[in-house]
Amino acid sequence: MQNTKLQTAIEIVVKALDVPPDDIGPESSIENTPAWDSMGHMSVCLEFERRYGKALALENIIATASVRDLAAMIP
Amino acid sequence: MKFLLLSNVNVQPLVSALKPFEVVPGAYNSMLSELSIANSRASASEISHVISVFDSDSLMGDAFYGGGKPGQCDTFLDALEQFCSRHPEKIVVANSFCLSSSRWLSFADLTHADSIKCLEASLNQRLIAIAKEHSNLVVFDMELLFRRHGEDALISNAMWYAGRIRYTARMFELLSASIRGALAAHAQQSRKVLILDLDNTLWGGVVGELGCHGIALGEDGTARCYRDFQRSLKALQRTGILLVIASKNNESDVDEVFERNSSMLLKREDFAAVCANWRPKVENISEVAQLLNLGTESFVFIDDNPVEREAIRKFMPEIAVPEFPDRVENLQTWFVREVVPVYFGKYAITTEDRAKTEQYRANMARKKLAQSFDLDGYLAELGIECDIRIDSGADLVRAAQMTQKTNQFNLTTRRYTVADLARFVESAEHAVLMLDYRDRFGDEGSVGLAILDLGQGQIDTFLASCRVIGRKVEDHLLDKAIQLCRGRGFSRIIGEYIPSRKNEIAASFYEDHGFKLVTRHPNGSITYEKAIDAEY
Repeated sequence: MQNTKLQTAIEIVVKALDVPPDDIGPESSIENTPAWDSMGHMSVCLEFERRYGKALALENIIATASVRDLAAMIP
Repeated sequence: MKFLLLSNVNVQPLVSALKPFEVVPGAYNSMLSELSIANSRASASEISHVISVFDSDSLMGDAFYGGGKPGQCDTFLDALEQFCSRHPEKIVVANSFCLSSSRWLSFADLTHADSIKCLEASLNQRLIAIAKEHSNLVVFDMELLFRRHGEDALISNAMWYAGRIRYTARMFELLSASIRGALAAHAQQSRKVLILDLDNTLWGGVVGELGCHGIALGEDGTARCYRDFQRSLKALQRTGILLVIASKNNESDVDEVFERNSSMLLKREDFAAVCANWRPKVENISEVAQLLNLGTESFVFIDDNPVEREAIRKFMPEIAVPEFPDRVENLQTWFVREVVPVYFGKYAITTEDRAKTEQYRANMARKKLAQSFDLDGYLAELGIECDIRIDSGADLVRAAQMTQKTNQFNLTTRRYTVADLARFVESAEHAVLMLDYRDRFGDEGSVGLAILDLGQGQIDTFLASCRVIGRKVEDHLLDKAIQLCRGRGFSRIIGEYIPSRKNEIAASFYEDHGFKLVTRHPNGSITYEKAIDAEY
């Protein structure tokens, strides 16, 4: 995984969840991040869409559960 | 200010989109209960604004699929109406009904008894009727967003099934902008004056070179772009915005266009002032501001020339200077979409607004007359007639507008909303006095306002439009205020002057009218008192 994509994914999650940057790292996921709840997840997906001007498919929204998943979708 | 955000779907992303407003999200799908139940969070006094952004398809329920009546929509409208009437102190914002383009009846939808297009229209009709009845309800037109940006870009099926979020990120940005714009318009924060260039702005080409018939202004091609732009300007002028020309041209060339070019849709009398000369525009604009008695912070400047725009931005940074469109075919669309709602957004248009240019022009005629008469002779010459109404419900919008917009001759500069005014009018402890003015040059409409606290015998608000300052109309208003206080058994009347950056002109008003200074407060405000015994 490219570092820049991971870094961008972290930025997206930090902005969407409105948490301190240090709270999110490459291994952060829905499982280990309290602010990343179901509502938080929608914010993360919306922030991704806003940044790339592209709509996510339902399958992607459901399957994405971590910073690494998100980074994998970055074009 | 604290907003409560309500919906029947998930609109959580609006909370951050509406920053820096403080927005509290309501519980999921709590819109109907929040609006209906008496002790709901929406009723709490800490909530100043209730923002109700709902999805029409979902609210329609089975009716959207042709299965019966839209019961929830009626429940919502009932609840909304009752909430607005129970809470005149709160501003309620709601979108219009706007159904997605899915039509189960396909081509039959237009004529079928279960037509959802017709249903949507009738729901909106009722919503608008409520907004007309309750001035604290602000409705914005959601259909405009779909028409302009397209449903596919605004509705997200994936987000909908994943988390009950109906809209895309783009739509949340647009919704936030619509809500902000509607609130600003409702609070009457629009600018007042539009300064316009002529060559390549109101018409194509340079009149000094091409002559009054050579410029591009007419029915075809480029010429029509300018004509349509003029048409929109005329529409804006009818909403009470003053148009002013600031152009580097020979005055005689410009006169010729007005007199001889029949395609010139805007006439000389549509402009509050015409400055066509070779002086810097900054100078012309300052002079016009003085002549109109208006601050330049309420001006907007449109000019195709980037050098002129830069000069205004540099020397008069308070003036709004939008960029000019690159392509002439977009002139009208640019103006209507990007200039009007941003700088001249209005939520209500009063009779005074419609006649504004005429009033300002008459004012300049009066100024010219003033140069040749002494004050009393001049006032006698004007043939002034004043009429004062007390606690009239019909004046609420205009009265609120005056408290929001009058800066100069305003003794206390207290800003009130329509809802505040409604409370004063209904309360026996307050009186709202509205003064109408006319003279032989024209009808100025409502130009003076006083709000009295009859419990204390005190003048809470006293203001007059800068258009009539210096014509002693304020004396009529003060006499009436004194009369009302005396009627309540007071032997003295209390006045207050709260200095602001702009109301210096009113500083000596109470002393000039026989009031005695009682207290000079540490914050700069001054309390005055005047005995009003029977001999007065």
